[in-house]
Amino acid sequence: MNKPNRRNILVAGGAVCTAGFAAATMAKSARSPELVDQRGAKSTVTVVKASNYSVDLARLIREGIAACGLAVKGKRVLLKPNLVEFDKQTVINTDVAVVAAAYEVFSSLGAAEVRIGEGPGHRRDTYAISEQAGYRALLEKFDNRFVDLNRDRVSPVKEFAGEPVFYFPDTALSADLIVSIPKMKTHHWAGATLAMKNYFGLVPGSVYGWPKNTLHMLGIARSIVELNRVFSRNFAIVDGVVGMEGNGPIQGSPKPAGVLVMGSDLRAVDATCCRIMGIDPLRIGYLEQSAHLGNATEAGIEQRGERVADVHTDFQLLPDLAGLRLNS
Amino acid sequence: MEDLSRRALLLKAQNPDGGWGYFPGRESWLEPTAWAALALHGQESAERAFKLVRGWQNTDGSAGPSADVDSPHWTASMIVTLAALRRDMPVVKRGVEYLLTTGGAESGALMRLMYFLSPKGRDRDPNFEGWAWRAGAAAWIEPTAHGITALRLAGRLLPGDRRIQERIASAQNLIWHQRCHDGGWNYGARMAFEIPLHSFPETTALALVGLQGRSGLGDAVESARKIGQGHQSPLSQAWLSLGLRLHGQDAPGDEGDSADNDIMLCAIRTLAARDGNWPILLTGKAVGRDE
Repeated sequence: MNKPNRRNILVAGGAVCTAGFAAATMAKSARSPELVDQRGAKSTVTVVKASNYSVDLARLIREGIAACGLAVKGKRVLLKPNLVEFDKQTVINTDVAVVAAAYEVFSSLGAAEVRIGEGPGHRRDTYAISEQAGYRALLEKFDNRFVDLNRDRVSPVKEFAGEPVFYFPDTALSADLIVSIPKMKTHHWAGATLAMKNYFGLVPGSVYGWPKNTLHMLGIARSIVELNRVFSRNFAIVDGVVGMEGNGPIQGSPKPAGVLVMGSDLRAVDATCCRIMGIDPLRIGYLEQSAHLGNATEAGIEQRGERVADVHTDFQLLPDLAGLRLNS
Repeated sequence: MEDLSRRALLLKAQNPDGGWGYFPGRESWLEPTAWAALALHGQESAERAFKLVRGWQNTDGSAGPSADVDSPHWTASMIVTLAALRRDMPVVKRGVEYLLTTGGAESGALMRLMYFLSPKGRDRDPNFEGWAWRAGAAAWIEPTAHGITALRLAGRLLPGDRRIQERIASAQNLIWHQRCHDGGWNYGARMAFEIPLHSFPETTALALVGLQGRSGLGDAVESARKIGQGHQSPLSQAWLSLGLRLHGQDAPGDEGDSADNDIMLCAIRTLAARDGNWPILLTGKAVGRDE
């Protein structure tokens, strides 16, 4: 284990303020070679440039899906954006333009059904957040297509992070494909919040509360890994057109990265995003602990589209997270 | 949707089992059922609702959030609130014992030690005990506010039990201690890594609900009004109305009687309306409807 630092002690002792008792899984262990990439075959990740939200995002997403060889026809698809806060002036939430483009593309590719669902972690008024984020205005027939995953019907799943039973929304459990559409952000607890962590929003607040403190008690990294084990039929479209750096995921600053990052292996997508952000992916607890779920090494990823080196832009990190910096 | 008043919508959306779902036509959950039962207190539909959730209380006083979710949950306090309004003493006593013997994980010995080891990381005072969303988790503002309401009403029926008043005081101290730098409350964290966090109007309003009866609130009520004023969330406005009325203040706006498709929102609006049942949370008796 790394030696205890002030941050780890803060997490352990004071973490209840926002994240409960995340100590054990927040501490980064020394890299273990046997933990890296147990999945086997290479994972395809596509990086495309998108300088702003007015470009033809649907075309870019279509290209990404094709490059990754994703089959969509006949599938029930759940688009899972990241909706966190009411603040319209910042970059907290996944931009509605990306979600609208994804909706258009997955519908046109013959999906049997495309729904949009989210279960925010702090705020209870999911519909008001989505309205403030422009979703109701820009997404056609929003009320028929959007599901508040915090208050959906739920069903039990056996064995989750040591819990004998855990409950999840039926909309997520019944989807053939979940498309994680997060914002590319730094995160003051987890280091970075990307496609894998976005699945916190699949946990129903009606059972686990606001915040979903049970996940923090079980360990943030462990919970993220477990969520991605339970929901394994995935695709990711990371909104890195304008991300968030510094004190993310809420109080950080806008960081234009000008990219969308896509792929079916969420670990590989997140690892690629980390490299773009100047973060060492294997120093992120949940990426380190999820080798059985996907690839994270450069050797394990078949890169399509832009090269990481060409779009790399260091995201500012909180001082306590400086040790996550790539090549530091 | 048909143009129904909120009360009428609630009556129409009640499930055959007596409960309400979060949305019309959905299976019954304890939370929307409890809010609807409070909004309709004194009516036969509220009694049917209580009969349903009374059966969801476990022998130890705990309760899950729905019939199908087997997990001790904060909603145990809502059963106590509903039972206290009906003087259903077996249910009240079971629920009170559960509330008095459960709390946030931060009050445990291990976490007290960890707090001691990291003074800079302290956001909570582990001597103050609130309630968690779910057994084994930390205490937060919303479940703590509901726990206090339940104990306040139950305490009127069990005046000799000093533990109740002591626990109310402790839980109110927790809420007060977690007040944000901007004068309101969020889910229950003032700071994260020594950086101040901002408040939310909905949890600020719920903090007011929990602080009812506590003296020395200073500008908290006025702060809540300012924080909530004009906020985009109808839920936060409904809770703000409730919080202000419980503190003897008039509630701005939201006086219309249009229906909502969101049962919980509709119920809280109905409860918090000028002529709503909100006084029962102060007196235990509904205006013009109770015995």
